[in-house]
Amino acid sequence: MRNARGPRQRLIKAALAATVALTACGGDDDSASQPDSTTATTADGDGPETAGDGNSASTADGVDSDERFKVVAVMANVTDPYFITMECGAKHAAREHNIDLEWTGATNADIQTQLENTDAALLQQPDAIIQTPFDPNAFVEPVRRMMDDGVTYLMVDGALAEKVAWKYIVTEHEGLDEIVGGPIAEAMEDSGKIGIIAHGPDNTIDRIRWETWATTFPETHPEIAVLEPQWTESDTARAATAASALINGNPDLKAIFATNGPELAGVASAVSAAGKEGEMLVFGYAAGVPQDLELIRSGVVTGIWVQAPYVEGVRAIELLAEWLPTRVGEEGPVPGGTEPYEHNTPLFYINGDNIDDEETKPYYGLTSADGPTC
Amino acid sequence: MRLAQSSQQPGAAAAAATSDDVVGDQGDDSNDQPMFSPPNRWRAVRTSTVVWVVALNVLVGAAFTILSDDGIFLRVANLQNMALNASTLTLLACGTAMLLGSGHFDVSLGANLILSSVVGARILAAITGSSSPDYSGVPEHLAVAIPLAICGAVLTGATVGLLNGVVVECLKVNAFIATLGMMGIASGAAYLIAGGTNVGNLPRALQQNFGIDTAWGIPKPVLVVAIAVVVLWFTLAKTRFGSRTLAIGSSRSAAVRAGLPVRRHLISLFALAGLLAGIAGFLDLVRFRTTNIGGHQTDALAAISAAVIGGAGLQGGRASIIGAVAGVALAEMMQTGLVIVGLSPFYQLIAVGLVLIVAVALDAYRRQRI
Repeated sequence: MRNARGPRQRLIKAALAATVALTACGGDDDSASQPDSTTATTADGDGPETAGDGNSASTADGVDSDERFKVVAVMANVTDPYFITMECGAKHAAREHNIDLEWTGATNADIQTQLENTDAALLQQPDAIIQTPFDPNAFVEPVRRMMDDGVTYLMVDGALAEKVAWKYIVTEHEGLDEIVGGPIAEAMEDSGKIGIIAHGPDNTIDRIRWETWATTFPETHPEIAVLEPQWTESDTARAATAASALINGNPDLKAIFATNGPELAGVASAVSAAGKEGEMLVFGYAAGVPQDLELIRSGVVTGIWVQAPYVEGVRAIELLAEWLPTRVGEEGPVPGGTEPYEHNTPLFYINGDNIDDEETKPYYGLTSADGPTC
Repeated sequence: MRLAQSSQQPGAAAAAATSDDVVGDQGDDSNDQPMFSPPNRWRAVRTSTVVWVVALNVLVGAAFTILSDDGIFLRVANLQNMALNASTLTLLACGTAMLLGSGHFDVSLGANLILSSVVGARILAAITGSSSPDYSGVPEHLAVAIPLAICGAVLTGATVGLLNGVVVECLKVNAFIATLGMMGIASGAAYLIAGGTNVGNLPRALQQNFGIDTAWGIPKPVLVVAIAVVVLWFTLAKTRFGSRTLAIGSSRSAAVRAGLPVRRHLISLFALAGLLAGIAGFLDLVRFRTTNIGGHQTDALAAISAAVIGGAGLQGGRASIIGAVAGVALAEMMQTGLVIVGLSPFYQLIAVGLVLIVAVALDAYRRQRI
């Protein structure tokens, strides 16, 4: 098993680097308060990776191009604060590079809808597609074909069964058993029952969030019993129903883990209704929006893991801004799995101890009751 | 208010209720019984769909109580939670029962609920200042915000329902198509008004003092729903409005010939169902302190199935408010009970589906035997 301290220390360093970078930038834009893209690290762990600085698209060797490039981001769950924040980052970066970015997608995670939207986007003859594919298999062949046709496919935080995408930007996913499981086990003092409220069994992205640590717990923390997940499909009301049933059905239940923001809101409501605020440990993945933070401050939620979607959005545009000028005049297929293939962004744990720290603030979600705040 | 029994209009009388639970079409209770024969209370009880559904609920509840450790299922805390969890669906199911009684239904109720909650949330956030990312959770002007938010949510729901009724009755669009279209419109409007994401971080006081709070051991939202249920039951079973609803569902042409204001009545029914969705939207909001834009996708179908289990007929002319409540209770008990007894989530889906089909099939079989 990987040493838990490695990734944590890298994250802290990355966040500190972001803070320094932001201080240096001065911040004339709200979005500048997000983690800087220079904190993204390559998968091989070689430390911070710098990218394009430009006001114009530039190749890796610094050759500028005045050509404008069209990029379409075909997402799903576009109302999810996670994707809204990613959109903020991508649009911010696109303004600084010679890229016309169109952000589109469905409000749900239906695979067919996402495939149809991808087909529609290809009709616009974009230079590149950015996507979080919601199925590891269904997108493989369409991606292979668009790459053969010369359209660059950049995958962000999804999963494909084959290495057919040009590159892959993804949240830190190695050692999740410790990054996520560690704080859970520590808070549970290595014993007791934990329930899981998840989106659905077919959602691979969602599945990674709990399966990584839940499957290793029998070996690493044998005194912790992990209950079978309850599927609630990002419906807050259904999550509350499932959570209250778990609480009532398991008097010795010590903790509940929610895989998404809507699930977390439902669990928090059920825990409050059961009068177990502060007594029941509540964890989850969330976007770090104001309500998530308030739930931590009030003690209803123990801690949340937040990704860095803003960085992912910026990084996606920066990579394309380097790459696309090199493709001018090229009509051949785009090579899949170009090395370095995987570009990692941080996963950050927010709890009552660090919620107001400066290094934490860049991970707050960019939405409020007024919508996007970028 | 004139009561059903006082109605003298032949079309209405032909379909008027003879029972306090499942009402309308007399076929529910007896096809061979003369319309105005002296009531046989035992026979009425024995042949009542509601009685059978309630009995099924008791059986299911007893089974879960026996199967759960130490009878956890029947504990007060679990009963409170189940009642709270079922509260919004109960409102939708009651509205659906009324509509089914008139021969219509509304598949946009879930989307209407979401839109209503978004409007209510927007009003709350605007007045209390909770839209600010720095909102500290201390509500300002909450006393003003709450009634305005309630009005906003309820009026939104009623307006969407009214539009459904107008499209169905004035533009002569089939109810399924009309409300399916409205489902998309309401969802889109909700996203637009919400700014594309959930409106959250609303005043915690709302949740603490109402959304999850109890009075006399009963969750406060459940009390609101209980009042609504009583009013709706009385309306359907005891008033001219109710008898007209079932008369129209039983035979629209007969109702027209009898001089009933069919079009106006149906529009008001759609508006009523929408109003109930609006109330449900506000209850949802105060319970979670956030809107639930991604949720409630199958609420309308769940409401229809609960109403049908409770004795409403898809062809119209039969409906029961108490039956709809019992139908929701059955679904809620299945959902909660299966988690409590530790059945795998995949088997839960199968079990819930099976019980729903068996419940309706048994009722159909029993009806054939009468």
